[in-house]
Amino acid sequence: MSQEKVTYFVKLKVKPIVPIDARRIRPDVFAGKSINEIKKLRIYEGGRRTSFEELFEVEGPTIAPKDPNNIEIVLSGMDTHKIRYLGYKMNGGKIVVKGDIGPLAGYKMINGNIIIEGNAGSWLGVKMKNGFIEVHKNAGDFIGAKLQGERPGKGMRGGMIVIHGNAGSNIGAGMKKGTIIIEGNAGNMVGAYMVGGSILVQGNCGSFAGARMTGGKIVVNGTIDGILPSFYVDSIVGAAKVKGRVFKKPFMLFMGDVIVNGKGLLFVAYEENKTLLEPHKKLIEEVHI
Amino acid sequence: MSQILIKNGIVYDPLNNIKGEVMDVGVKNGKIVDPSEIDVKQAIVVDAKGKVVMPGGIDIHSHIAGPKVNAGRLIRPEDHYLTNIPSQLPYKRAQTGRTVPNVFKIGYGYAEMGYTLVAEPASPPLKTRHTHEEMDAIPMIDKLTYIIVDSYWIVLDLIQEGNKDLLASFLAWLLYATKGYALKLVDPCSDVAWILGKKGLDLDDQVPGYNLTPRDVIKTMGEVSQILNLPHSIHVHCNRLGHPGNYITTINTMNLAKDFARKETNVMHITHVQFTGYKGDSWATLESGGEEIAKTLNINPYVTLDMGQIIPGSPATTMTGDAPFEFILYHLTRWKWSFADIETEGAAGIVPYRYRKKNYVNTIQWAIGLEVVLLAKDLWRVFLTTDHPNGGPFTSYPKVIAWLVSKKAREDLMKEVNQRALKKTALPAIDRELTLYDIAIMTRASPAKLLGLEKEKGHLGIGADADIAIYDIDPNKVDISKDYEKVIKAFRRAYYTIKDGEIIVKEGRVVKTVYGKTYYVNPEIPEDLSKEIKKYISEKFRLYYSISLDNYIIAEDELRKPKEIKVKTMLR
Repeated sequence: MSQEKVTYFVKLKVKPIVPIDARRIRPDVFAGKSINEIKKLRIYEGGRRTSFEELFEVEGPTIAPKDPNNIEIVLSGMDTHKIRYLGYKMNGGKIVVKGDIGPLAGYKMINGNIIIEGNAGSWLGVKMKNGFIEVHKNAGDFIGAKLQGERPGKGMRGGMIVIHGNAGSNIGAGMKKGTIIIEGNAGNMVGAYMVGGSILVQGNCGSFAGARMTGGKIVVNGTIDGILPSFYVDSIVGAAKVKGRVFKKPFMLFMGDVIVNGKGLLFVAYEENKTLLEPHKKLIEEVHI
Repeated sequence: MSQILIKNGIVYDPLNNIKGEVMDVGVKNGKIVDPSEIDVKQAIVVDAKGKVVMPGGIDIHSHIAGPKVNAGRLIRPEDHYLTNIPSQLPYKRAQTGRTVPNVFKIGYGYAEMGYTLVAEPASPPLKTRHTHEEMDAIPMIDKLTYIIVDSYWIVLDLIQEGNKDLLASFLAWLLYATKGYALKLVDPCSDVAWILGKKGLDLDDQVPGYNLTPRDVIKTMGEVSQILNLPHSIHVHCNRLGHPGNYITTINTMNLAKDFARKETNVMHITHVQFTGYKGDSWATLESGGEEIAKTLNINPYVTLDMGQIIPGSPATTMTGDAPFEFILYHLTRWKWSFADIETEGAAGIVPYRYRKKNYVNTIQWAIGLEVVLLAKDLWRVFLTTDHPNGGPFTSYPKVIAWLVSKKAREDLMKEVNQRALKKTALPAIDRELTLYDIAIMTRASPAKLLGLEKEKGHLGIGADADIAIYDIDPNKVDISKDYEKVIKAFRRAYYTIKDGEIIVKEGRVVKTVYGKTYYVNPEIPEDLSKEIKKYISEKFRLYYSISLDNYIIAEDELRKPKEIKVKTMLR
């Protein structure tokens, strides 16, 4: 039985000074509740426990449908980047943020969509199991990563993150499955401790890409600052492909990280990074002599 | 101070031989008094009808403080995620952590379970100042610490020289200088070998650089501990811990006790015996040696044991002064490892670990600890521990209690564990179920006796410290062997905990923060020996240490609430 899709408009009343823990703004919590119940939901402003209606104006139908997939939440207001834990363990539905969002959005997300029309903070989609996250502007560090100190493979476990702008460092650290696409540039340590899954950086990328990776695939379409010495050159291939995005140009294929007996693949565009192979060429020449 | 009258409780007090009798308990000025002395009009009356009243629990082996615990916190940030509990002022500070919690969670956690005295079992002398600072920060409970002396160069020098009086006076000075309570031997002498780049030692291997074996060291220390008349016996973590086939070493170590015993009981304590009870040639053919160890325990009255029970399905952080073993464990887990050398005194390692239900080795480990207790004839000589956080966090004690009192609880878990491993153990054939009185012996009375504190702790007789735990379970109505869930629920959250005559936990919630005492021993040495040893120490310090002697000694005013126990030694 398909129901009509409903939309809730949630707007910050004032400019927040301290972080807001908004882990309850998510469709599967809203599902089946009346609007008065939603307004009474618990929320933390800094260390202070308060109710939903004190911080937000909520507009929407009086009773939410029971299926969270039919619920869309539109979050807006000034300084929404103070909101963290948005979509924590969210299972189904859709959240649209008209502005920036703070750290830990989509943490442990199970399913559903999060669209961020501004910038995203760090730790976006950390440990997510499935679902889709889209960021229209830039994002911070540790996108789709594991938390510090955890075993490799405890990061993102499925789903997809697309960032239309640039991203910081440690993208996909410790990820196991799923896809991260960055259409701009990325920082250092892309795909560190990676076990599986794929990362695409369409712009340039910093150094230490794939440090201690044991599996998975990283594609760098622009320039790269350097390759770790623990990666070896496998071959030069004609094209690279991630989730239907095909780049028909020569790529250097590196494999590693040898330190951990890894078999991860690192594709780096050939034309942009010709100097990378210079030391290898010198070695070959020396051997010939 | 307020007066408290606990009315109509079902009292279990093994030291006074009270087995579940309905009676009143009176508390006045922090001590237990006769109920008739209480002025009912002024007293707080606690109705304990249908509830169990026991003395406050005593944990004799739990790594709660010291530099290694702090290192464990540092290398395990993932142990702290989503475990934060905000502060509830004015009673409670913020809590965090699971296997290596912060100091407040340790204090509140123990108080909520009805425990009031906890022993930190391994503190290297040089770092004991840190241990005391951290113990001072732990609220609610009384504390004491054992000092690691097995790989201490000055001690080994003195053992080699053969002058027992001088060794005894040195250890007496050391215990007083570091405000320690007992002597701990961690994998005797292995850290000497380890610091020199060698592997761990067996009982009869030669200690590198010395003409000694660990056997000599254990014997001498056992003798000296009795010469000094220390309240607690030597606390031995056996050689070859964590190696398959090590149960023979454990049994040999236990048999050593009768060679140097001058008393009839409590001559040697073998700690976390589960980790040293493995039979078999390799990890793949591991079997349980619990039966053999229990047999040796039954015929050897000098030895006491504690379980070191592991909790299947629970994360743990192994931390021990047995550095060579941690190095092996690091290569088994291949994740992370923290390690420290402590000048000439020892070494330590920390490795996170997770016990799994379906794992072959972990199932055997689970069975060994329970086998030892259930096959022991004399429950006054076995103690309940998980070697927190090595076998599992101390918050799992209620689960261990449930496994001991209920065969059904064991059988329910046996369905989930590794079946191949279960066939190699004796546990499925054991029908014994302990009673609440037995639990009171294992966690209250006998630990107090073992620590030599039976006058003030571990019982509810007149004149004892008013450390009382009340649990919301009625053994006359609930069949604890069937409804073991109720046992877990009752022991996880005490109905009331009273510490030094003040109610600190009410219906499982902390209502007041108090700070407990720190016990330490001060063995008296004759004056001439005292002069001789001071000269000896100052010479050795120049040779061995990077710090001066004056900075080594911990003054009494550095402790929050010191409680000295004067000991009359047998020296001259």
